[in-house]
Amino acid sequence: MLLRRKRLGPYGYARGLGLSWNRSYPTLIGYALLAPLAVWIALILVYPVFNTVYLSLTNTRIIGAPSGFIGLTNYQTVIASPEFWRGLLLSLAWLVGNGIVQTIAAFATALLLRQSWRFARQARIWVLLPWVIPTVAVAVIWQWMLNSNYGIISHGLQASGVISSPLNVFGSPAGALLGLIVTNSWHWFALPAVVIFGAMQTIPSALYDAAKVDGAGPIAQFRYITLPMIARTLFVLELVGNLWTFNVLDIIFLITRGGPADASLTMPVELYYTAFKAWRIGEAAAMTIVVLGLLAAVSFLYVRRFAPRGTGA
Amino acid sequence: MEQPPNRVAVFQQVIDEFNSLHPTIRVTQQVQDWNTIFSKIGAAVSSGTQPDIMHASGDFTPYVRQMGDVVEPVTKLVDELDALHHFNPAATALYRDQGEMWAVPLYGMIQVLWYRKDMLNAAGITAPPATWEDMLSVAEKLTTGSTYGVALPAGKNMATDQNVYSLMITAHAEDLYDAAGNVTFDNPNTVRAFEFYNELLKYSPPDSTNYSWGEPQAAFNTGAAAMAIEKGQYLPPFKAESGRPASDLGCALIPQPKENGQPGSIYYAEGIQIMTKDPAKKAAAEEFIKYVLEPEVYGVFLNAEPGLFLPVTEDGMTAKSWLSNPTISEYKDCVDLMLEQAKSGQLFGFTHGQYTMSIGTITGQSLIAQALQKMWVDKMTPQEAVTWGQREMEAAVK
Repeated sequence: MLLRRKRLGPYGYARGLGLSWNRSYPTLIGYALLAPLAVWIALILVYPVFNTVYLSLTNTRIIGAPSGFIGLTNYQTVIASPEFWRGLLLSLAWLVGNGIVQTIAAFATALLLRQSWRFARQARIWVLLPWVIPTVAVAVIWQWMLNSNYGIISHGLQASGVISSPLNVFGSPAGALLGLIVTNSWHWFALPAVVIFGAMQTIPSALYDAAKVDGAGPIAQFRYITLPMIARTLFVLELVGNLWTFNVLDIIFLITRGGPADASLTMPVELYYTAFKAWRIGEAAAMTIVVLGLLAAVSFLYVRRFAPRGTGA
Repeated sequence: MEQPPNRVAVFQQVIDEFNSLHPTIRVTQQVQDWNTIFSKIGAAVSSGTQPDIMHASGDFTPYVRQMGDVVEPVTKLVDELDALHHFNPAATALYRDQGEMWAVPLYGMIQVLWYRKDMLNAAGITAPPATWEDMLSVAEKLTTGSTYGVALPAGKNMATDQNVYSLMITAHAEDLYDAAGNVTFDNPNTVRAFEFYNELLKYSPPDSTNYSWGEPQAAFNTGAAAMAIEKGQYLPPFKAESGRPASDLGCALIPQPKENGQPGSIYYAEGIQIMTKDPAKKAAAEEFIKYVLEPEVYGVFLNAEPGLFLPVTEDGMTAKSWLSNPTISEYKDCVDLMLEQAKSGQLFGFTHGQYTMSIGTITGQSLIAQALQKMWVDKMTPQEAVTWGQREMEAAVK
């Protein structure tokens, strides 16, 4: 029945089942009402992608200037470019680093928020503070805090004897990406923390009570109850969070601009520089399409491999 | 494209006064962001909705001109204004190409050496450094556990490009192109400037590789660094941020090599370009530009950023409305020094009497700064870094 329904569509379905016009009318009205929105979404999603594909096949340098069709040359340039692969590798490091730091911070915060203590309710609100601060302000705050001359962290560490010379985080190739990962994670960890906390709140307390009776300690409870019960939430969070994180441009651009010596030149920053600083729009479009394809493939594999089955929280 | 509220307010004041005096002309201000205007102007030009007059700069004007016949030559207007007000030739040079002027310069910006008199005096140094060798020696002497001799930008940004280029000029390495338009970055004089910058960076804070415009100024004002090379934005906040009297802020011409050096500094003149072919609108635009350059109106205009915006006309330098500004009058010696330094000012890609269209792709990617980072961060030799820069520049302009 389901197959037949899909094949015939709304009109055919109505006719095939011998339904009258009156009975299928509400369905048609529904489609008609959805149509403008569907067209609008198709336009704002499909047009930019097709336009990017078109640009990637041209030698466009400046928007508005004359350009010509050059086939797959831009793709050949991109694939052969060490800068492209370096950017991709840095993006991978960025993704893994953020994933580790944010996952640990978010879980720890969510577990803390679950505890009953005096300021638990207030903490649940205040924990969102880093997330609501505009990215520009986050960039400035962390640049100030980590500055070698007047940064509180550098001064604090020097005063306490932990380091002997001023801190150099964003100015060193080894420290720049790490510093950016910490900054970005501080900015974003609150969101997954609150989502995980919300998912945890839906787990019936009876499960924990029963586990305790069976002698399960906190680690066993976390592993066998909490984790499986919030698996669906984590699955979505990881997928969306990783895509967001991969595409982060602002905080990197504001703090290091991809430096020093390209040590933090992740793919989005590389793309931005290629398009709007080197004015190689066609090449940047080709990079975009390659990255889009890679992200789509990885997301597809992730969904196929990790999508939770059965019921859960 | 000048977004700071103080600048927008003063521009609006000038526009309002012009509109009230010219009831048949209506000028409106549209504030744009430098970061997005390069992509937005393309769409505007394609759809024929570009503004009639627009902010001009050394790299923005050639960029817009590449989009077709959209920027109108203003040679006759500039000649007329020059006869009246006498432009600084360094300012007009930025907009001259193929025998025409493509914008009217409105204000100039020049780098000089800023130094903390109190810190130099405390170290027994009574005069600012005049040569590279002096500067290195002063920087070394003033670098102690908690302070640095100098604060230099070495990030991948325009601030670093500008600092390096100022020193390149003093070493006779001002030409990024030869007369035929070939990139000539890789030459012994550029290497000399890179070697010097490399030495100076040893006396600059360790995170200089992430410094742009703001950080050296903050280090300078907080007393963490004794010297910096920058434009006139150091004047207005000095007293408030350093807690020191104005007399502690010293300024000097950019030091030059003792042997085979020349005076010089990077000089920018921003201006105004006309982008309409409508004769009536063109006439109105010219009327507006003439009005802005009337000395007393011009003085008000320059006060949008006192100390940073310097006059590009001779009579602008004597405008009472500008000279009476508290910052200008308090730091008159430094303002005069900047005007003196402006006479030897140059800008990358704008030598040999006309500009080179492709300079925007070099400055847009901060390739001078990137070459510097190759030397300072990746430990290339100055010669290797300069050779790397040459290769990247050639690829960029291809």
